[in-house]
Amino acid sequence: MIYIQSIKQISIQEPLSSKWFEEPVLYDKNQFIDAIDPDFKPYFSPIAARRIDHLLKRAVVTAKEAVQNEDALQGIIMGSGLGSIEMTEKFLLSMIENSEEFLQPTAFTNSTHNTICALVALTLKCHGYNTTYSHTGMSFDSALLDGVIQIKGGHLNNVLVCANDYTTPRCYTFMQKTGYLKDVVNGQVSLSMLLSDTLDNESICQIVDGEMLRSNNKSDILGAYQALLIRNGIAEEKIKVTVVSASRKDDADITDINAMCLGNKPMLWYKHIFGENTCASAMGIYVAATCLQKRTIPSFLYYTGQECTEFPEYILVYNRFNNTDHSIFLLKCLN
Amino acid sequence: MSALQVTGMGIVSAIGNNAEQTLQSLLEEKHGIAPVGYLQTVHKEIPCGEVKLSNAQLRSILDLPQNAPYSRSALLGTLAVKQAVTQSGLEAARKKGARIAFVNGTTVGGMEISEQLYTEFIDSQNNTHNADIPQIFCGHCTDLIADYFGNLFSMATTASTACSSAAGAIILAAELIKNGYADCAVAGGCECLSKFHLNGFNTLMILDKEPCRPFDNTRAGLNLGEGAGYLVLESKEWASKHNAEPLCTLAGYGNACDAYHQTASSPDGQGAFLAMSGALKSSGLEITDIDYINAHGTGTPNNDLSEGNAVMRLFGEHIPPISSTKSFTGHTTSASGGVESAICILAMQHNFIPASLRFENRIEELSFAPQATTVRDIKLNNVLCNSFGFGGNDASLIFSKI
Repeated sequence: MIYIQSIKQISIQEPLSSKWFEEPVLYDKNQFIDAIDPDFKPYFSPIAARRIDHLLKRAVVTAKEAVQNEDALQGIIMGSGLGSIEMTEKFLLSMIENSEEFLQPTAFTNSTHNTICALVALTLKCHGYNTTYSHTGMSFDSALLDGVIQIKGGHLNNVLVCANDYTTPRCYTFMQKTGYLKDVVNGQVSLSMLLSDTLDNESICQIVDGEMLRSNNKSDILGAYQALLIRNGIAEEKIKVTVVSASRKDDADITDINAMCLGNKPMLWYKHIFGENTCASAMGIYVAATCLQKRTIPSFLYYTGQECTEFPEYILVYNRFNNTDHSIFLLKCLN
Repeated sequence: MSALQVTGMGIVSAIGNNAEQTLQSLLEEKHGIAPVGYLQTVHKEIPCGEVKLSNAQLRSILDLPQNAPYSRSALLGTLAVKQAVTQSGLEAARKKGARIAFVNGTTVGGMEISEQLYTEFIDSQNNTHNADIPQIFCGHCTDLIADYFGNLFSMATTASTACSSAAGAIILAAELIKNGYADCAVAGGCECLSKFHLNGFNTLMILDKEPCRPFDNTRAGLNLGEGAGYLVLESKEWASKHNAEPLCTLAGYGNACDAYHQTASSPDGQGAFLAMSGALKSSGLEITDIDYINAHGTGTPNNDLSEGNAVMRLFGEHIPPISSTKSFTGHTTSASGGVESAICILAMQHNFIPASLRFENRIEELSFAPQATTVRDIKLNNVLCNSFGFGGNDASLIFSKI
């Protein structure tokens, strides 16, 4: 069995807190929104704070907060669509402006996607399994699936799975042009989630299993959903609610997929609260886990008027990116 | 489940555009380090291992329209994946219902296109290059490669751990199959030379202005390379289902983090030691079973000493022949785990140990010297392939003869 032991987040909601569950901060669409950062001073020396960017700071803080017993940590897996993009931009722009001369190495060494996970490992002194996935909107999903596999396969007893993506103002401009961030709330994501094979008083919920799919044929989503349920011996009627990755209130495609492929269950959404970002799917898992922990679903999470009649034992979390990439994870309430 | 079989491979690097050309270059000790011909940079004094094909030539080989929005990384990747897919006959597996994963390792991705986006198209109302914007995500490179093969792949993802990306991709692919999330997989990596990382490595002052000398006491740095390398992995059952001929098995793998410094390796090579010992443990082999180590061996003072210390610590008195084929290809960064896995397999198939070129003087602190010249007519049963990345992301793979 795989359990979520802790989840800590820094986002556009109050950091390191679940205040959003009672009083979410609401934002307008079509504007650049930065994360609400906690006070970083207790976590970094002034020298260290100057050397690293926003995202690296957030990543270290959520990881430290999620891991209480550093010595016992066996691995760290990160998802990040853009990596340390602030550093990439800094090096890139300096290279362009100075015609490849007079460059400083710090921005470059902090620019690779894995630098975030490396810094977390360095901070937590973890020599175990360490990897980073950067697959646009499926980056966190890839990391979580690997985390599930590491525990299921018996390689690790616990693993920290993280999501870190910072949409810089420049990237925001780009993504407005492509339509990805048009007419939606833009989000920022730093999240760390500790998975363990052992149930204890800290356990939040269970992760039953996950599935990733690449297809633009909707019937394959149904196939993946059914395969996941069959593999885990769960009857379809037990699934009563689905968290969907819609970023707009009127996403007809998501409604279609829910109706055709995912059993037409009541839908929950989270991007109106946490915003759109290539690591936003981590917030979908977080929202589902928080509901399961608190044993209630706030009404502002329902996507349509269709609501659950009783508190569900399972929450399905569906994410997709670009119509081609899909993921499904199944979470279960603890007894 | 028994060890996974490798049923196909693809390789493109400065020493050849396919496995056959690569083999010939290795056996003739013909390296590919030279001044760049295609990369646009002011640093023409820095030699690199550039693939000897232009983007236009790559597009034409792949029958892609000249205006197809493919980055050079994606072009190199597509070419190598195509070789691997063809060799294993993976289309036949797909027809029989196999779920095939594509796990790509890359970091730079479409950086050369991002360079243009950031200069020309960011603050203006210019929308002419909107189709190129997704190139700022390295994962987009994976999508481009996957798209080329229609619906061959039923899942795709991107591992990005700098210079160990391809090795990490191979490890995830193996785990996906072993745990029932895929039946077959194509895994490895691709990376083109970019102004961005050439300048990045240059600021770190670890680029040799001459062709590199891995494991030499006077080594002065690495040469950047580019290329792509992929393997097809599948269970024995699936391989026989579509009559694929196994080249070898993936016998074991290990992944660990040095957790010492953001870029430098620890003096004792703790991460490298853990990755290699993890690979040995998972393969069930003993140190004396390893017949050859294809070292990460970048040629930087730091890496070769750290890796050398880790090898000494693990293998003690039984250090097998070791060489760095980066002396031929340059450091193909994210692709290196794929490129060098393919080289290891060629060595096993054709019974030779590739040379570590330009080696003259043993590193004072190390008890061993690399294999300076090609050894022929030697049977290799098990080979170890190392890939270590910035941030201490260390991975080791073991391939075994069937």
